[in-house]
Amino acid sequence: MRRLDPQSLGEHLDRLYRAAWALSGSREDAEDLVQDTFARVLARPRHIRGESDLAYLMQVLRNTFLTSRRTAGRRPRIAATLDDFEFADPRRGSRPEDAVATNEVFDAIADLDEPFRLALIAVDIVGLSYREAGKALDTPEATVTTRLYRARQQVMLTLSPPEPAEPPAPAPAPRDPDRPALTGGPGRPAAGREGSDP
Amino acid sequence: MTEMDRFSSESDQPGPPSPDAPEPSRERMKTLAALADGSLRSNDARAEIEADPQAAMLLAQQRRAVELVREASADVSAPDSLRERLAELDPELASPPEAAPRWRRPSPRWPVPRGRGLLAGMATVAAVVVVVIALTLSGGTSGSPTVAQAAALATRPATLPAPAHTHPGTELIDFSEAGVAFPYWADHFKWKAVGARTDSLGNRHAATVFYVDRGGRRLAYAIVSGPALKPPAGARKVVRSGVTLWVSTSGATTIVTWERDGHSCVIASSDVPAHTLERLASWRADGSIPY
Repeated sequence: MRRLDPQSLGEHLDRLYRAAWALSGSREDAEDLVQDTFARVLARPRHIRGESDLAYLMQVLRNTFLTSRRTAGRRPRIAATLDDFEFADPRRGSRPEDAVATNEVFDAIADLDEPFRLALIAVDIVGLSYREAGKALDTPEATVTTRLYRARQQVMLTLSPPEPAEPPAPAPAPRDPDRPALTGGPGRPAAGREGSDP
Repeated sequence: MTEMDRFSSESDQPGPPSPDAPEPSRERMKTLAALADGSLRSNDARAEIEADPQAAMLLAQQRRAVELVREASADVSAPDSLRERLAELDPELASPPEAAPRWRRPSPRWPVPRGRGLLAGMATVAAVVVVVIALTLSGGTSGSPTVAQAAALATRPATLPAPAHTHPGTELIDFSEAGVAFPYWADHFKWKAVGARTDSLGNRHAATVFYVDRGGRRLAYAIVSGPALKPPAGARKVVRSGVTLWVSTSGATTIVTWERDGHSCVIASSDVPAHTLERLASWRADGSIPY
């Protein structure tokens, strides 16, 4: 058991802000969430048992988010657009293409169902181990892992949706007995080849 | 063009997941997730996954998702408005971002310090090599080289054959300087090493590898022995995937410099855009490229 050093909180500010953005879905709400989290932590001495400061802070962030959401009735969502995106770090302000990419990724995460969103945030954004994430989220480690897998797949699906399937050919040509069975017709890739639907 | 578009155009990326595809077993999900983010480093598990094309594709998708999230996260810092609000709670919370280089910060899980250090060292080495070459070309003076001088290496011919891939499963080639190996980009980015050269730059040594992509674009990646070089005056600081890069131009040449293991690395090219050079420079291959 050790006491959380309030002066160390600043070291984790960037990670918590990223987590709060992904969790709440907007930068404005993220600021409020981080402020509320830090206010809660600083309200009284905190004692930590066998976990990292960051894991503890993630736990408080999650609890603060859940409490505020219950209070509000529903999670507010403010869609960020490229026009209103401002980099906190002006050194990045000259690269609008990264603003788009960052928004796309954070929006995709914010669209995940909450259990999956929390797992991905804890591991891939905050950088907790599976064990730490499980403890911070009050979820079995194995469950965190499978949620993380599904969350990543969903993020990929959102960011890079599959091509729409081609309409079926109106009348399939008679099969050439010399042609391999998996070969598609004209203009159609062979089944199983990269880019074809499974 | 979005980040996804850009990246897809530069490498063979896994196709998007199919929403109708059957899910793997829970145990397989755990293995895939852990292999993708480096939590699991079992060669046996990796070999088992790679032996199954469907599982290998899922692993590639997981890795890509991890990479996208980490890259997006690296671009986000707490805004000043939040710091000001927190300062009202406790003045200690208003400390500016990135007070210390990111790659030297302790990380709870990712092998960031080692990986970033190596990339940083490679960047430093490259910069030094460029500088040394430039100095040699200009008469071989022994003064401190500059990154801009080092970038001149990109215009020099290769004098050594293309280094070979160390072995399948690694992301390094069999060529290094000061213990810092050059990356293998052929599979991931379709940038192939086509030649190399070594140069003496004053009392330093520099190694350079030339890479070419499928479109014939060329870049030079140099690693310079000795302490890291100072970034060029006026260079733009960029942090990608947790790696601090310094981007500048000299004429038509774009120059990116960073550090790996305390050595300067420099990438220079006159026909590759800065964002591509930045991505290449900051690619750590899930930690398999040591920094």
